[in-house]
Amino acid sequence: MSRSIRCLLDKFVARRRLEGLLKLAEGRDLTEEELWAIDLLQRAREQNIQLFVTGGTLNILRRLKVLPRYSTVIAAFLERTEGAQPTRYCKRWARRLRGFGFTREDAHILALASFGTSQRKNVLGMHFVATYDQPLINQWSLQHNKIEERLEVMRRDLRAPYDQVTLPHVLRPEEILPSGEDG
Amino acid sequence: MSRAVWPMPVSVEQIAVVVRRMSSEERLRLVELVPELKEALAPVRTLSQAKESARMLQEEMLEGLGGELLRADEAFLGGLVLEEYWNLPDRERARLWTEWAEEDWDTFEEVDVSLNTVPAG
Repeated sequence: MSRSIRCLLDKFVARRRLEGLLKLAEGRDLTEEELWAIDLLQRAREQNIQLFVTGGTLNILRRLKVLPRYSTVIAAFLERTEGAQPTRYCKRWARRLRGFGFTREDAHILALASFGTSQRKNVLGMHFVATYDQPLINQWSLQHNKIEERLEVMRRDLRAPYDQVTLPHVLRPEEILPSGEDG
Repeated sequence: MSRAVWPMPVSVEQIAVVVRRMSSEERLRLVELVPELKEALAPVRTLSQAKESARMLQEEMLEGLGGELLRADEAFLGGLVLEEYWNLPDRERARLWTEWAEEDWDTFEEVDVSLNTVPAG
């Protein structure tokens, strides 16, 4: 798994994905956002992408698990997907990010994408954050250089492997292109 | 056959500053002059590919459901049935999702990773 591309789904993309799966299981039509969120799973299969969600999304799946008819939907959701665990310094980086004007929740998602790991704790950080939040994408893009500088200052005081963390690309699901592809 | 590579006289960041100061008309003219920009900004996937992914996934899930679709009156979270959930405005569904998620951004535990962990990048 360590060589795969890692992508963290924000709360909204995770909701669209679960709602899309529920609609498929019910035979309803999907919205465009649900289709893209579903497509990300197919791409994860084809392009060796490991998907991550936050603990909150896992809490919802746990609630749903009590209802046996949803076991197939839950299994489909969890394919190539696991909960991201915050690593050391995640809270500290989230506080720094709040200084750039990000909301509390956005700052934590973005911090988790740099200081987050898998359940096996064998990776550090994500390559992408998938979101439909265009203001967040714009804000991240506009302030990227300053955020990178801030991270560089913080990295100097950290021990390995935390001194090698990077910033994720923050993109809509349909725009995520694993590096190495020709496009 | 090799292509000559011209060094960039300015950085991408400097170009970005100029683009941000442009009017809408000037930006459209820029895209006309540099059509490669359109390709770079185009979605990586097409909607028909996404629909095909959904179709395949639906087939797989139907097998898991024993060929029987979920019913609209299937019990869902929060004492709702599926039909009631879909009838809620998206804003309300988002609110419920936040409530059910019980996300804790203040007291979560941080874990340590080992020295040979693979960083992204």
